[in-house]
Amino acid sequence: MAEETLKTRRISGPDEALVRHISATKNEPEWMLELRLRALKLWQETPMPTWGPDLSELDLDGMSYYVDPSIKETDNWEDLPKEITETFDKLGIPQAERDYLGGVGAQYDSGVVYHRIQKHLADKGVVFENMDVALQKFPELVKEHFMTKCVPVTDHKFTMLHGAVWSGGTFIYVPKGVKVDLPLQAYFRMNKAKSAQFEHTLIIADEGSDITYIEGCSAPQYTSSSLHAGCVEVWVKPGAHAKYISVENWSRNTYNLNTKKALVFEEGHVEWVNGNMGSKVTMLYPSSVLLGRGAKSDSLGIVMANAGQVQDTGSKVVHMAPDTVSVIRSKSVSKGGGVSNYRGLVKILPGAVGARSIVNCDALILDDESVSNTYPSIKNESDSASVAHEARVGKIGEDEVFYLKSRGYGEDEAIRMIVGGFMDPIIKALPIEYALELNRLIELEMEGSVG
Amino acid sequence: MSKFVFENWQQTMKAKAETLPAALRYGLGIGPGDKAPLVPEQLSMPEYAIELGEGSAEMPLLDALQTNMFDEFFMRTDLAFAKHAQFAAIASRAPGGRVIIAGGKEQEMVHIRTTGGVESGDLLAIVAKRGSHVTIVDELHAGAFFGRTMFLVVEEDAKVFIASTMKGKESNVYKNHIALVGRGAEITWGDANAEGCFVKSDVECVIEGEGGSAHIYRFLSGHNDRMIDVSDSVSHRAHHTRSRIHALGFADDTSRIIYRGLIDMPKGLRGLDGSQEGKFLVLSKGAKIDAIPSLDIASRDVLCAHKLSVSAISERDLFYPRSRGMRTEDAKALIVEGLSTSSLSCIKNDMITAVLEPELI
Repeated sequence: MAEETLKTRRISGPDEALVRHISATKNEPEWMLELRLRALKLWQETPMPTWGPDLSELDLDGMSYYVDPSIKETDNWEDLPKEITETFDKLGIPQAERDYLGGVGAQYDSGVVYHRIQKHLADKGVVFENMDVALQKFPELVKEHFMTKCVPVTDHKFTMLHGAVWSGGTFIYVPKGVKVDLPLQAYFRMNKAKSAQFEHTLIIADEGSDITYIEGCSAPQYTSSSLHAGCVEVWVKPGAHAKYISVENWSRNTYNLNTKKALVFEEGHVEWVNGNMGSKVTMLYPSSVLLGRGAKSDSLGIVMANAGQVQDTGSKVVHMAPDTVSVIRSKSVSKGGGVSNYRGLVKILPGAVGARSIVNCDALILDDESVSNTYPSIKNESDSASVAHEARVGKIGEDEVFYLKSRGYGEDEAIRMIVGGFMDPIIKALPIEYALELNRLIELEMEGSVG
Repeated sequence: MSKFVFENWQQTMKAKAETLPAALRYGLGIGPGDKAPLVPEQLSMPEYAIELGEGSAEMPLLDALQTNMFDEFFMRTDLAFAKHAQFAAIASRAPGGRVIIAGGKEQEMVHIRTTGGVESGDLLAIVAKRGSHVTIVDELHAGAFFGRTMFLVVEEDAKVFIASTMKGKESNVYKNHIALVGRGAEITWGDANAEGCFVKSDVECVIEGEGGSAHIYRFLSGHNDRMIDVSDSVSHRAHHTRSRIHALGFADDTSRIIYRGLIDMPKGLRGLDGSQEGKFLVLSKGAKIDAIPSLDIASRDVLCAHKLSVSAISERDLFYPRSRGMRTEDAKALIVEGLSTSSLSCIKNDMITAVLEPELI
């Protein structure tokens, strides 16, 4: 069994000994240990957030904050133990790597077990590494960008926890002017019961570069709760373009309290595409800080809230420079008593002359047990900016179902097709293979929606 | 209800207000800072000039306490005060107020002119009787501080138009309005606050009867260093109910506007229809607007939407009037006037639009 091959350490909440153990195990530089200890102190001093979904059932004391795989990272799937390759085979990762990816990383609990990038990308100077390895190989680059200006450890309670016990994740550096023609992908698997995963993703797209990065996340179902508090930092330097795609399908007992933020410099462009299907509670608000003139942010999100789930998602944009543009599109489906909340922020500071922002939220409610809430917040301090927001919440129209039934479809099938069409604008933004996977996930979630 | 019960109720409200943490005493949004006392200990009674039609009657609040009709308001106070601690504080100290029973015949007019002292507060209760059509003009002249809590009951099949305005350039004003809308009843509430250096104003409509509807029209005009913090909400509590919230606001100079809107559609209700629409313009570099239009939807058979824009007057908008020889300031004023007139024209009551129009333009 997978658990028998892993060394695990269970403690009552993260403490200094654990933080020092993680840092020592990874042979980290002194500054990283200091960052971890500072984050731990802040975590211990900061109260739990009182807004948003209920986190009272999240048992932080009995959690395994660090699960150390006893195997070393490799660039060959055959070197991995069978139980790990079987897991990733079932998820289709090796097949996807062969077919359409420029590079793949795979993380199993707290450690990265596999990492490889295509040679022609490596030859151009593209770095695609395990975050722990990058810290050893590129210490200065990491020190400059890791939890400094993008997501500081002080951001909120769970970035403090993340800063203290982060492990694994992905580091990507794309040199100036380099276009990465194939997407890079990482897959994060949380396999152990009552564990927590804190992978850190740091993407640096240097001037004029172009990168598409995909993350997939999953975990098997256990009776006790798990925690995922990852962190994604994206630096989009002048004229660069970074597209970040994630499909998160955590098990129904996972608290997914993730932080994703991009700093976008002059004429840079960041795209967020997020699909959230699983988890017990998700709090996820991909954020963009538009720092330079002409910077742009696009955010697309789909959410499916099923029985027992609270999907509290949205997007945030801070416009700090002239002529900056942001677009937020969010779609949600609630069924079986699920709760979906859109919680967003558009903030336009006085210097953002001529800034523009459009926010669009659509929600479908499929039964009387489910809930959809919309909490957009717009703060405008510029006398030349324009922000528009619109949202719609409703049910599937009886005339739409009637039309499809009159064409010979069963009611169940008709509803699935309508929901598929509702999600279509977002699914089109995904690479075709991911769109197929997401469509399959939506169909699975939609099973038994009639009656 | 006796005066003794009323005093007990005031004590309860006072206790509630005092148990809340300081940060919540002004509810959500902004507080007046040093501009006003947190809770005035001594409020005076304002003066009233009330004009009524033949089918209506009014009496002092303390006299009305001797009758049973007043019970209904106080039974519902938790609804009103759970969210508004500062109003609980004001209501608990209000020395009195007026009760107005309107109706009896169609097209009833009620004109309430309230003039406050330096620090005044009151409770105002209005009942629009079953099947009546009532137009209410609520005109407030505030001193340095004014706190008002207004209950409005719109009985079955009644139709009410109400316009609330406020005068008092240096005033700090807290206004909390709660309307209970009965079966088949309809309320249209227009609120414009052109003056006052600090204004906190809430309108909450609770649609309790099947087929009821509530429309709120909010007009906000920020200039100098005014702070305006408003909240408009509609709670659907019955099947086949309808809500509309419209907000229009302008922030000039160094003024600040906070606008919050909420449509609440709880579980198990059918045939609900709601929409919120907000348009706000930032007219100068020092002005700020925060807008949070929210929807809480827990029912399937609903249609609910909101749209909001917070923008500036663009060069493109100004080009045409300027090309006709207008100065930039006049061109901006023309655009503001055009938007205001367009919003006002949605209110299907000439008296209400006539009262609100001078407050906007």
